[in-house]
Amino acid sequence: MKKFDNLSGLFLLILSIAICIGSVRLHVGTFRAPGAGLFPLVTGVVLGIFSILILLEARKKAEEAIPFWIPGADIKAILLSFLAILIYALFLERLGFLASTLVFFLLISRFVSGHRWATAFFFAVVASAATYSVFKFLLRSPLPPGILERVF
Amino acid sequence: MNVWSNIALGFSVISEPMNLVFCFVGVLLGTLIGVLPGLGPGATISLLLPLTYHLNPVASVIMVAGIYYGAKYGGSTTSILLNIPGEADSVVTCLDGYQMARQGRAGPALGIAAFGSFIAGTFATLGLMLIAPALAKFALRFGPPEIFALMVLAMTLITFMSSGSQIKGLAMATLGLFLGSIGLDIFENVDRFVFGYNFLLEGLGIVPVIMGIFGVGEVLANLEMQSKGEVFEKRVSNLLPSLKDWKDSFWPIMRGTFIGFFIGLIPGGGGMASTFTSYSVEKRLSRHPEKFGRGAIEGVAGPEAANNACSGANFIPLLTLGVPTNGIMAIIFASLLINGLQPGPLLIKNNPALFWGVIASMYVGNVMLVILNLPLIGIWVRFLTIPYSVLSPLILFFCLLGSYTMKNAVPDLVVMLVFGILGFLMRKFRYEGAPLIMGFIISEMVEGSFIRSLLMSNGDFSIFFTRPISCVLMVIALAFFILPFFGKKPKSLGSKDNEK
Repeated sequence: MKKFDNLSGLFLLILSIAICIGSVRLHVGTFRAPGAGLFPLVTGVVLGIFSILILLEARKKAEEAIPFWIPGADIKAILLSFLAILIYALFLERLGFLASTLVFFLLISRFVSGHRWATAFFFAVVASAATYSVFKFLLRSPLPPGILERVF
Repeated sequence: MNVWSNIALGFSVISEPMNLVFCFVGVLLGTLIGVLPGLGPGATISLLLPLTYHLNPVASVIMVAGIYYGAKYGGSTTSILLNIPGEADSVVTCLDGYQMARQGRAGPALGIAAFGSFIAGTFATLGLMLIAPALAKFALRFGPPEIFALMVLAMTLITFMSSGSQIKGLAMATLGLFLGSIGLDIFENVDRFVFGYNFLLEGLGIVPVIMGIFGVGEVLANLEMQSKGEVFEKRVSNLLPSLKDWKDSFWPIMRGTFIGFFIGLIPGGGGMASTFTSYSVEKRLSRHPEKFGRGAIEGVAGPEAANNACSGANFIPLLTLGVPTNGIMAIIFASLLINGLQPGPLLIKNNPALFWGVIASMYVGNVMLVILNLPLIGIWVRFLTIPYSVLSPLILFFCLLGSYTMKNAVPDLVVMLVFGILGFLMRKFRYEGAPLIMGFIISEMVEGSFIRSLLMSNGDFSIFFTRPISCVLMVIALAFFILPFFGKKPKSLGSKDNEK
């Protein structure tokens, strides 16, 4: 835990300094006539104090080696999930809702959940068609059109 | 208006078919996610936030409230039958509930849990009706310094009661306050920390931030460690507790209700604090404490009642003072904001239909829960067999869909991803998400009251200590901040549900 707290405390300290610098660049004003930068500056200073306290607390803690990942953790699945979300964000408005949703479910179902291709494909089709109909027809929410929507 | 006409108004609101339907949907969804491990009410309510945008505010708050207390019912079912607490609040129920199930008394355990919760829910609703309007009236006298002091107190209490480190919690709350200040400034209309990205002008979206931290964070944490449980008893019969069971449980239920209600009023006083307190009180008062942990019905009845009374009381600070008491209340706060309603003392006055309708719906919802949970218990047990490999893609996808459809903006998806990674790392480094979300949501209120107080006092900070109410609030907040430095904080108060 000590190593974790040192790392996260340091990160928060750097972040708080960055917040302070950014706030000072805005108009801080005075307490009598506060400007837009005052509140972020206060949060930055307070965060800095807390991060130093975290670092001080960490010094008292015993050195124990806790691995970052739980033993036997499926690291690949976690990284792939992040990747799938990123791909979805990049392609949603280019490929349209149906196509990108199909790809997203195929990726997650096949590679993260470890379903067989056939299952993954079935899952992807059912899930994307169902959500499409709910959002399009029931909630009348505008979804980005694309290649597949033109076919139907 | 007197109490009776208010109650009549509430029941006329809930008897509208649409509201009844959404109340039912809420408790149904709540029970479902309470039963399913690995999907908490926080994540579910945030998944539904975009949907509430399409509903009218009354219906959406009724539904969201239903999910909250419904999840507590569902959580007890898995605790008793599987020894798996669906929610952190139900950990205590495992102790004696599962033992009762092993002795073939799963039925009475489930039965007393449901009836106890119902009785407690009823009393909590009554308490809400009596206390809330008076508290709101009192809070109407609050000026900016009082509001600021109240927010500081709420943040200190939430982090004090949480299971993790208080300093870390406060750091997260402060970070949340900063994140909430991104975008156009409320006083000068200057853009802050936007870095040329126009989508940040309106500030970070509430939905993508919550979805990232709670939704994506939770799924990824679950992907790492998959829990498996075996249903102890597939067929549950004889749900009605015997006369002796009732005799044993009556006072525990009453005491549990009382304990839960008062703990629920305190910011940070989550379900877990109330269930643990009730359990230890019952064990201490019992004439046969050795039976606890071996299937004592009092150990199920008391904590279950406390848990439900607590969830009702949680709404009081939110609806009267505008203070969210835990992570889930912060999300409900957000759902009110999304619907253009500002939680606070004016809510009862300006939106009596919403306030009294939601309270009445809690009563009706509790009746629905008894009906849903007792005869249909077999169906809920079957839901436990849904593998997480099917649930996780769906949850991730709903997070994406929810973040996107809020404004139909792709940048929100990126925001969600960033906060998903942050939420995952926070779990790894033992930081809680609830204080961050809370700080983020109340940021505008905190900044507004802070700046207005300074303008009122000509830049003099003593304004927070010279006005009586704000001085008292500040002193209590300071006390809770300093307290942990002198001696350890009581571990049993640790409220795990703030992690959700």
